[in-house]
Amino acid sequence: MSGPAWMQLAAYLATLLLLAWPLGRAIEAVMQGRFAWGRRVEAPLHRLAGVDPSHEQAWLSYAIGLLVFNGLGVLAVYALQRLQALLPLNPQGLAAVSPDSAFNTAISFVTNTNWQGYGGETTMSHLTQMLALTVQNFLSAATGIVVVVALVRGFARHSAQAIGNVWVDLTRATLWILLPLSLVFALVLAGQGVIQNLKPDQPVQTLEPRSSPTQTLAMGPVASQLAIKMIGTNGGGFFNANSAHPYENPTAVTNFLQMLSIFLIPAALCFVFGRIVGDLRQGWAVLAAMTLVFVVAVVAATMAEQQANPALVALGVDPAGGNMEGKEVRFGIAASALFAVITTAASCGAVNAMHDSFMPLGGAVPLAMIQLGEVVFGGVGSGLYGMLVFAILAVFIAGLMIGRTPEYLGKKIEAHEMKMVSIAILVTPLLVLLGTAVAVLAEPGRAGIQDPGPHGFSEVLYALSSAANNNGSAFAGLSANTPFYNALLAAAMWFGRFGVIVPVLAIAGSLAAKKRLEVTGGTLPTHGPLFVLLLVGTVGLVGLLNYVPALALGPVVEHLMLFAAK
Amino acid sequence: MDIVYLLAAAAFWVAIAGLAIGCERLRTRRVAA
Repeated sequence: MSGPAWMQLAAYLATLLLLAWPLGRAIEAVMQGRFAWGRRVEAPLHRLAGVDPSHEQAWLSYAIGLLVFNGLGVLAVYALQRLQALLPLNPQGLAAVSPDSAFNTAISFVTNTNWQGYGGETTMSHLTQMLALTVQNFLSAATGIVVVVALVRGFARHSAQAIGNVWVDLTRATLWILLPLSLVFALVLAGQGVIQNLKPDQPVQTLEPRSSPTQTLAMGPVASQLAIKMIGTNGGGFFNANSAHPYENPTAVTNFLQMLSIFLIPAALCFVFGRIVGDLRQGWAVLAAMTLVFVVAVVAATMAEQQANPALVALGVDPAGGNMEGKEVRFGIAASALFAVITTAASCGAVNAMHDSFMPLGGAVPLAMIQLGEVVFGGVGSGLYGMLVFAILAVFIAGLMIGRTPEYLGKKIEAHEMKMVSIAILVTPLLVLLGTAVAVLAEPGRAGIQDPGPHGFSEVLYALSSAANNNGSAFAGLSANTPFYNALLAAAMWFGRFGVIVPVLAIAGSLAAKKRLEVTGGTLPTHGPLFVLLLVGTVGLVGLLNYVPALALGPVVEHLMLFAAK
Repeated sequence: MDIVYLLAAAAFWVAIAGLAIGCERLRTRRVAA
């Protein structure tokens, strides 16, 4: 990896840490109800909604509330897309979105996936972009935050039946965390040149009047959507080209800030975890495990992309430039590879380069980051609760090795917790591998593949991995806006999201009810380097066991074929 | 076609609600045992 790439990575991590620390303090204060001014503002809202903020819920009631909330979100987003032709703020007169695409998109945005089978600027009216998609960007991110806070309360409380009030938590996460951050970030982005208007598309005169006299520039409320798209690790672009579009990512500054904003809340939540359980070292340990995997992935992706494609070198292309196919010249290799790893380590899915055009092993890195379960920083909330599930598995494995009953943060880990952990960890690989098998066996699935052979297999594997792990980025070669893929991926997104959230909340409820054990000489320390390595090993091992055969059929074979041809 | 997709969404929702209830039953059965 080149010197500037190392410097960029170091600057990125340092700035992230600097911002995440105070944000963690603020989030913890808000979610624990210590933001007094906010509570006064919330009070009339709770009264209006008939919510008693002092009433806390058991985990099942909390989970059902969350499911009702998100189910209504699916209906609202579906209806807005289907009725957009009749609704205002549609200056291009766009038709209603097709039923299968509307279904896919509704589930996609509610599950924080933001997989987009459609092109934003040619499909969605301004109203749909704002009222359906941007609103869900907030609410799906809030859903992730409240789930992880409920889980952390499960660790912190003892002999308790309740894990919080879902309506109060959702209100606080939205009003006092996501909205203020997005407002500030949207203003910064607009200041850097991201557009924000409600105009129809603008025809402009080009500088090449002979070959292409006019060009149409899409307009719309981009900055407001872009801010929460990154902060909420949603990833769904206003434009089809996402953050490779100059109106969605105009400068090197916006590129850096967008990368920073993806990891900001996931990193801050590690400190929230440490504060709520009363031992900041626990938060640092989880953050260290995430950072370790992340740095290795960045180095691997950057090195792969700094390598030239031998097929192009054979045609006389200078190999010194590395692999620039599918990348913005404005950003180059280092910023594209870093963005790709960040967006797939977190379940964001925004892209500033086309992952489909990465070198086979360069593309395998984002794919593997998704397949690890989006726990390396991960999505807002979902990254940390996923990592804590792996932490429980890690202490269980350690307990088996030394013959002691496993415990984590003073809570005994027993059969019920391990059943829930098993569901949470196995549901996504099941969806990915079964879904990929169905897609490559079924005729409508094979029809969407642009490139036959291992690359085509990678396209399908990537799509299912991205959907089930709620990432949303794509290997662009797959034509996925078909009834078959819209239905298949919608199922993967829904069950990949809530099939994990439900057992995580069940763990929260079970842990909250337990007594806290005293630390003894036999307690496994979970704040030191040994546990960090154990945690990284557990995440890596589960990922390898699940996905190595599939990766071997896709990017690994493609790599061998490409370099054998040399 | 709208009704087909709305029914599919309802089925998805019911399946996850069923998972939640199943998880709770597992927990209470453990306590009873």
